[in-house]
Amino acid sequence: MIIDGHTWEYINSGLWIFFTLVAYISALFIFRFSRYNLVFHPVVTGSIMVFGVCLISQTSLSDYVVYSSPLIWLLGPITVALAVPVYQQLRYLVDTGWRGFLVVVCGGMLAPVCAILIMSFGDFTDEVKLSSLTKSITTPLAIDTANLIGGVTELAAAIVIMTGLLGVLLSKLVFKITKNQDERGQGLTLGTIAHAIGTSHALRLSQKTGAYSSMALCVNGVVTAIVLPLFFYLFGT
Amino acid sequence: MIKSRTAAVFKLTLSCAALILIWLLGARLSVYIALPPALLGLFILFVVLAFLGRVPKALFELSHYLLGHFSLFFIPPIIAAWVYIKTLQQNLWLFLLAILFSTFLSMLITSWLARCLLPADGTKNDANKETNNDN
Repeated sequence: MIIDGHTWEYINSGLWIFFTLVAYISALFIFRFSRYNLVFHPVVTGSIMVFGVCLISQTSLSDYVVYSSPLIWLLGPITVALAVPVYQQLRYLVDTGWRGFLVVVCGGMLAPVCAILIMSFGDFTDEVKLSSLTKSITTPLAIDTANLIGGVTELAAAIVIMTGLLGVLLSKLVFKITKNQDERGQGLTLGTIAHAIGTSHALRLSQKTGAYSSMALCVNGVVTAIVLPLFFYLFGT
Repeated sequence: MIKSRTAAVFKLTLSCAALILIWLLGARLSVYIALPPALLGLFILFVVLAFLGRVPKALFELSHYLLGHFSLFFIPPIIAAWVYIKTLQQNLWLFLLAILFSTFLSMLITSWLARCLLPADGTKNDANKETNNDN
């Protein structure tokens, strides 16, 4: 076998994907071991481990991003798989009718508007502001949408994940303040604001909360992913 | 036994291929329609499912598995974001505050809206029974 420059790239790519997998699997174990404490969410611990390996092997982070690009590519087909839960949650959307839809859409609009308002106090570049617009929709859709409206995809992904983690951490307090004890209401809130991370938390609360949460996640994701690009297409910057 | 296993593997491969093909189709369509390619793919699969009237078992299992292990695919973007976040420098704190505050505020209002708008639940049961289990 002839080892030229390209072969090395492939080997490196395979190796780093393997490392990422190993880090993720160990992160899963840590998460289970910590009894699903959110501080040890697989995304957080997994990233720290990969970060550590990069530091030790003196690989620059931007090199790692290039090597792991096949993983990012796979996000596309997985987003398509979201159609299955969307199809299955349709029943719940019909159940709550326009009221549920209104809650999800209002919540979904509020999150980015709030973020933009607060960010207008500092001097952020347009890229950063645009990336925060997709903060409350599930990551794969957020990456695509941010890409389309001119945001930074990586930043958008990080903002989405931070929002999800914060949303779950704050949820107990929020439900107490608003006296929201309804399983459906809690599910809708978690799914709308904290997307997939909120949904997996909701599933641990109860089956019903989880069902409503994944319905909200799907509706918000799809609506935002349609509205934002259309908005920029029509009123383009 | 062996036959049914081969069939299962075959169906799984078929589901994988279907997902990738539909995504490619969505990417092709996104040239004409200004929507994210993955979203267009999602619509195509949705229409197919609505047409079928049910979700094939292999496809359900595959999507359930993939969506359950979503987080794996978030690790590379997070590392990439780290590179970018470092360039924010003195704005970093305001940036984090904006995310924290907007999440809290939007969640508060959504939760309040849900409580006001949703009609009383017919199947009343103890919603808060299990909230103490997580921390």
